[in-house]
Amino acid sequence: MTKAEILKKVQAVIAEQLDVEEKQVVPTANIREDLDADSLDIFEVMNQLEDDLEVKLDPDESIVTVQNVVDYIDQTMAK
Amino acid sequence: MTKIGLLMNGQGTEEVGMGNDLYQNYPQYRAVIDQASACAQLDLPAIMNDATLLGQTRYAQPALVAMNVGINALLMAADIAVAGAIGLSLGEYAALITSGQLSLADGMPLVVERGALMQAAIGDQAHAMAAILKPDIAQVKAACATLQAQGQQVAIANYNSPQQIVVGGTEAGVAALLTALPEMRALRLPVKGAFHTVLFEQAALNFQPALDSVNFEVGDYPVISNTTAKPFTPDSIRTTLVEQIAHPTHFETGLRQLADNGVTTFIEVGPGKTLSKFARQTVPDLARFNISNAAQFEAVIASLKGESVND
Repeated sequence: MTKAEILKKVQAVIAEQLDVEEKQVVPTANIREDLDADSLDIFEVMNQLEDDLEVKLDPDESIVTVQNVVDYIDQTMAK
Repeated sequence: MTKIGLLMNGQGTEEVGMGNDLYQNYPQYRAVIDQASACAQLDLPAIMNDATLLGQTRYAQPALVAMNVGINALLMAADIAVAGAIGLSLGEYAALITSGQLSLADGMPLVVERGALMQAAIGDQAHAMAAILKPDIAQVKAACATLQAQGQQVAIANYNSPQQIVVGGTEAGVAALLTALPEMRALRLPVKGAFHTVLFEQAALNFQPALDSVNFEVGDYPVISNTTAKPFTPDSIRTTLVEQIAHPTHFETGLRQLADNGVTTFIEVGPGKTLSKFARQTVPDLARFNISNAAQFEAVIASLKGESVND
């Protein structure tokens, strides 16, 4: 999967899980502050991405922006 | 035709500064908060702006109920007709007040008493709760039963949506469950107590006398109970509200019932959007709005009255 494809998937899942417009889910968006997500929201997003992308994700506190999620998935899939 | 169902949220959604712009901008909202303060004998605007006070169950509960009732007053002033309501746990009190089944004058002291009893029940005990995503409910129930037979206290406390349940119990009980089902997708929640479990049975019993002195009326629209998953009725309401404290909530079933009753649009009032999320996960085809501030209130009114909304 290319990074662009991962970004597209991440944007779709975040938009659905957080009930926001996909256009708001820009790479620089801070998931907690700009998209109004709490820890449980982020946990749900990550679990949905695990299911959709068939990858095991174990994110830590360093995941702050949409781009962080994309990079993290990209690195995990490359392993 | 649009039929509105109100979603009234519960403890855990409170945030410092909640409702401040509503309080400044809308006299109807301010009047409710000030009246609620008088009924509760608390300075609710001060509580809503003080992290230490808002972090305590006994203050957070009346603050949230007052805010939810205040937003409902704005909807009523804007001629938004409501067809039904559901609150999550504490939110049931806001729903009962807005539907006319419970007066604000009776309801606020009741909520203060309930909050104080629940806070006292927690005391110094280590309670825990954890959300479980995409749960295998039969498996979780079986694991809880096994642990209960070994003397642990852990059980399902909230059936929130098809995607999410919450388990609660003692710290040791919840830890044992998470260890027993390691594949389960669980996230511990930052809560004060394991609400809606057996750990609150004594608090529930202690709450009974406060309810006995309160008068309940037939409301303007049905409020679906978390405990029975049926509309509250004046004859059973006291028993149901006592049981609610120590029994699981069935929010998912309640949402479905509102949808079955013809509700087309949910409006979640109060901080956060947790209940809208459960609505999306349970009945995704229904419209959803949130109101926690002035901008959202204006946008909802514009949308429901068919005006264009610029954001």
